[in-house]
Amino acid sequence: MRRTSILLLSILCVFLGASRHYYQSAVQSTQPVNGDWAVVQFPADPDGLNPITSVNGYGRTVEYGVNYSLVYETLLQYDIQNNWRFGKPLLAEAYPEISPDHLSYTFKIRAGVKWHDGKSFTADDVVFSAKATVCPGVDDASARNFFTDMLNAEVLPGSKVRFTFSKPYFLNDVQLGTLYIVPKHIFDADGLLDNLTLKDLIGAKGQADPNVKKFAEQFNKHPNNRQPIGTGPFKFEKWDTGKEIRLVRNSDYWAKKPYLDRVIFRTIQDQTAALTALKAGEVDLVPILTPVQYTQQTSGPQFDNQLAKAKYSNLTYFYIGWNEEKPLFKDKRVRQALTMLVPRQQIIDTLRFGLARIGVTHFTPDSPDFDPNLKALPYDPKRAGQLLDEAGWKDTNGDGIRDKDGVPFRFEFLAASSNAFADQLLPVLKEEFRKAGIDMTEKRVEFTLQVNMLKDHNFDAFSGAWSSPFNTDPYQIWYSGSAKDRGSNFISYNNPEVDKILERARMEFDPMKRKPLYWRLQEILHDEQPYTFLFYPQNTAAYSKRFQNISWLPVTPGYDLTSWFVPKALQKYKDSPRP
Amino acid sequence: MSGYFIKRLLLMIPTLIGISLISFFIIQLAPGDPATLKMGNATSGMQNQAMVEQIIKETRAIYGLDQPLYIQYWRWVKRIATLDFGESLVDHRPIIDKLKERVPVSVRLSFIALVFAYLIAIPMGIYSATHQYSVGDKISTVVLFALYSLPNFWVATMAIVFLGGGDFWSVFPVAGLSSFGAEQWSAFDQFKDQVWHLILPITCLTYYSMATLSRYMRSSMLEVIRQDFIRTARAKGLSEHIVIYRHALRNSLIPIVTLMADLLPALIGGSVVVETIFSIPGMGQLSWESVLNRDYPLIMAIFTLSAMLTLFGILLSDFLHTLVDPRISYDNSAS
Repeated sequence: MRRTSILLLSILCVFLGASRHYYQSAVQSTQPVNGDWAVVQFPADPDGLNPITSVNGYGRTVEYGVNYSLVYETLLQYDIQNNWRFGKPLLAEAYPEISPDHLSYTFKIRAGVKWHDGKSFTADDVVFSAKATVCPGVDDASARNFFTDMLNAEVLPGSKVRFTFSKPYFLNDVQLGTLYIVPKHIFDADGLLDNLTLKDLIGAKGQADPNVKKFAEQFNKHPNNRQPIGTGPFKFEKWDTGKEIRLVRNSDYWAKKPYLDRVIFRTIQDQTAALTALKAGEVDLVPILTPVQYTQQTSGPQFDNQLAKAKYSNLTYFYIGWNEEKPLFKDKRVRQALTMLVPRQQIIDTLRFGLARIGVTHFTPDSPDFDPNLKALPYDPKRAGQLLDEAGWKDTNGDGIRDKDGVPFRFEFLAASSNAFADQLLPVLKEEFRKAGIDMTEKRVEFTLQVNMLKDHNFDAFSGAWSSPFNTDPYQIWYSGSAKDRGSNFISYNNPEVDKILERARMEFDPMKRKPLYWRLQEILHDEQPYTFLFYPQNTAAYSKRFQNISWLPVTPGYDLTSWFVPKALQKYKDSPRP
Repeated sequence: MSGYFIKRLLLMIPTLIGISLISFFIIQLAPGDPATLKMGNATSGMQNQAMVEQIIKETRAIYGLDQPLYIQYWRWVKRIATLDFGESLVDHRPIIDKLKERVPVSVRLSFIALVFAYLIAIPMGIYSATHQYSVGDKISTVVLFALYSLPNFWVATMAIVFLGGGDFWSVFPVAGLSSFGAEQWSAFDQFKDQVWHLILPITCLTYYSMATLSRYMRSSMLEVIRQDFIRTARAKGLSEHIVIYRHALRNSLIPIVTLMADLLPALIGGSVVVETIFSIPGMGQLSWESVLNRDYPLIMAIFTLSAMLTLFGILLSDFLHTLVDPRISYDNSAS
């Protein structure tokens, strides 16, 4: 028994060893060439590959990559060279013509674009996609959410599409520019929606028409929800559930073709297994490493020989929210003091291994609206103590806990039981607050229960994170009205000036004029500290060195596979790998 | 005898209804619902919160969750009576398709692991019992207790770190059940590849149950060989081999057979830990995800399936009892 296992072991070692030094003599080449595959690790399968009905981020990555163009494409995309300004034409010929009242948007549809099955892409596909998005019975809660003010979408002569809205809104160009476009001839082959306009669909006619119901049922479970047919630079090849999703280069792509022959998204759930698979050459990119993996497990000559690692920012911030409905946190001096009691730099250095930037405000440093003049409040327990004294919180009965009017400064910190970061954060906070005479206890609940408690404002303090695209509207988080009806203003923040700024900003169509409004917003938030902005985390990745022309971008997923290439001498895959 | 088993089979129907009724209502008690999850935490957009709630309401109607619970349950019973599990709320795929993808994976894994566990545990238990307090018995006791106390997520992670080709030895693959691109290889290469992928997960699944089983086997064997009929057998001058394997073994298997009642549901149940660490798309993963997603029809399908298999397992083990122990009989006239 023992002998055979050792034999087996050594055979396997030889067998694996053979393939391990294929690019010892790395040829540095800057001339992009076609060929090779990229194997990207995914921690889970997507929930589907129809952008309208799928919601999870892995699906979005396969569908759209980093800039709305991978298997599917949208009308407009980011202009990365131009400071990430949104509005570079993609499936539209140009940025839309917008009526002076900002209620109608007319796009000219690009000619000569073909779906992956060879059929031409037309204006009908665009209108159909808008119709499918708002169609009653289609299971796309999060997609339709963006078009609740859309009145109609219609094809005009000359390959044009006009969208009309009931209200002006500064992000309507972004919502339309990123409308999920799917092929009409696949998803509505029988033309069930042909006789209905978008206006009909959202009205009484849409509720009553049996064809609408039939279409919605078909659409929700359409086989092509798992076999996308798009217009993008990569074509879908196959999806083995729980194993891999395979894309192949679209050699008929209408714009600049990608270099890689294939892209494979391989499902490896476990973080340790993912990094091990990378080191063993089974995958080429692990897009998100844990801080420990980045700082301690990705170095040494063996690693550096074949692999490289990278840091990249994303538009996310972590924060602590103080519920302003609670008398404890009503006074801004108390909130300022609490922020000054949180040793944020120490938390970044020890808990995140330095992989984050200290939090200042609602916008992240990569955002064009970020106000660089604001400086994070320092860690200053002494000043915090003074502020608490000023606010009337003094330890009058000598029990070590501050009190005011007979009420001790005592609160519960809410966190999801699955929140591993809170496991580390809460003990630090508890200790710092205890030293300042504040008694904090933990309350851990299941994630979905936590969401309900937040929406019901049924908590004292909690820790969360917000992630948003470049073009974002802070309205839902800070507007006083968003606290009602279970919105995202969990902490019931209420400041009339902020409300006015938010209302004005969403009707301001010039980004340069919006900026001063958002700077004023950030000034107020900085002064009032409704959140303790903890930090802006940085993501870390490790990848095979054979790839060239890699850049790391601040939007999800951070990497752009359409620009990657491998010099001829280093190419690893031609056909399927041999046993 | 057959009458008894028919009675038992018929009794399973009300039992199943009871189980399904309880589980149907219990899963609704968990906070959160699939429609809210579908909405996600989208915070941009012009929408007002009332509109968001309206969309969530409409989504609940798509899922049929707008109906009162008893109607939902009745609809479910009508569907399940025709063996229709319905469709998943997450992607609207028929649940039967999802099960077809996953069940074979878990069955293969658990079956191999169980065969190994029994193959190793029974002889080991017999050896320990017949050589009680010998050096071999003591060593196996220590080793088995050590294995019993090692959590399998730790063993699996260590195996990946040390044997997965990271910074240490490159012996086994770390993820999935087949190599990347293996579907184009020859049948023999594919078979080799699968065996190679199965070794680590099977080991992690086997060692724990093997440790438990062999302790059961040892204690039940010890109990049996102290009984009078064994002394009689020995006194008759039968060889030790015949005493142990013909007379003692069958009797000592009774508790092991009882444990087999759990085998059937365990076969399709899969293991969340091992499947997650080794990225194996099996039933453990599916059940876990279905609970996280509040995918009610899928949860119910898995509950029903494992309830049925548990009931069959109990029936089967009762039947097996009659095989290993002639004294056990379910025949009314005989008693």
